[in-house]
Amino acid sequence: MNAEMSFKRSTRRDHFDVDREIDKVIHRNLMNQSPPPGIYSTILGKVRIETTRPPADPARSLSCASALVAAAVLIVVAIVLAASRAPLAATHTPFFNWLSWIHSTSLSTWINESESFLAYPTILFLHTLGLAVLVGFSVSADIRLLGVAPRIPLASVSRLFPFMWLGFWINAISGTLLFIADPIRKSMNPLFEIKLALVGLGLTCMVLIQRQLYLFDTAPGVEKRARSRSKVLAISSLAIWASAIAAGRLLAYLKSS
Amino acid sequence: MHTFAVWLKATHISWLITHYAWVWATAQVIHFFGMSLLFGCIALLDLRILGIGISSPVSAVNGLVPWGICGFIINLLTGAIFVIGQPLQYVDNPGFWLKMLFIFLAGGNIAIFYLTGVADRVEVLQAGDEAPLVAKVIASASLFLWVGVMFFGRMLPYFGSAF
Repeated sequence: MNAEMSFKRSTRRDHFDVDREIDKVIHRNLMNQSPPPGIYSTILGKVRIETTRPPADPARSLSCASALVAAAVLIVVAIVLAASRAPLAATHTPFFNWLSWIHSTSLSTWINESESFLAYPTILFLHTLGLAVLVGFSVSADIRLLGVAPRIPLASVSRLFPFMWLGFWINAISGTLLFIADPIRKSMNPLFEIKLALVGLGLTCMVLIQRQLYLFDTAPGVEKRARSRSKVLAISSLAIWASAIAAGRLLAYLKSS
Repeated sequence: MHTFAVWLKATHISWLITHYAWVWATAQVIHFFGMSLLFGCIALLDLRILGIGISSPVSAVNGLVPWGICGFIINLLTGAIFVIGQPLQYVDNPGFWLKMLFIFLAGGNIAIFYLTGVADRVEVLQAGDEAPLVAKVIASASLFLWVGVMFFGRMLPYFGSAF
């Protein structure tokens, strides 16, 4: 068949030839008028982009969006805390008054003074558990992306992310409660905002890795190009979470006087 | 045990650990890294046995176990630094002994897993295969015991009055 053979000759991504061949077929069989020039290559181009973009998934978009919002909030809070500490003698700034107010609320007093096991010790334990889940699974996902245990399918790695998000939110809530218990000393500690900023960066890394894994799943063609990107993300993620843990642990040891 | 702790406290290495403030803090940070590595890798295998992430063959997930063991060894070493540095904080602390008990039980759980052949039955599972019930029980016990270890570790300052 003439049109087929001439089409095969020109499939070396020469858009102009593709247009001409499809034109010929359609003229012969379907239409009387000529379509606009270049219309088919434009359509093919759009189709190619559509197939490589992952289909919209509301749950995934919501989790990505909430993660990025949380990351942005953390980084902004970190900056605000750093900025507010500048005049250390200014103990009557509105920000300090607000922190004093938080410290005086009944929730704060309950966390601090309750003898119940369900108060401070439990909140601390939940914070550690959330971090073990979040950083633990993040570490195993990262070392998988770096080539350890390569027969683990990436789909399984994607299955870890809901647990990691659960770990993060457990830590966000327990962390907020821990902050409420002692807002003034925490905000005076430079390590605290460093930790928040690092957690914000870590979350961003997580979202990017999650997207990367999704792309691997839905558009196998991008794998080669994206593999080096995912390795960079994995290494950054390891470094960021390690620093965040260090900052968090050192909070207890390097209190500002 | 108490006299051993007193003897430990008098050693030079114990003095070294407590003399330089950065030693304790650094050991704490590394202890948390080791905990994350250990829990991340072992929990991954446990979750696969329980059916989460069932699209991996178990032999693939087993590749992460050496890293989990690495995490355990890191924690053993940093833990030793803590105990040698401040033995009196731990020897009278019921929370510490409960933590050691849970580590021992977790080790026993692992021994049962490997010695009774359940590990071999689980190793051959391919993507999509459900693990046998025995394996699931062992995996749940493993998760419970390691979370327990973390729990008692965190609660160390709150048990007894040693801290």
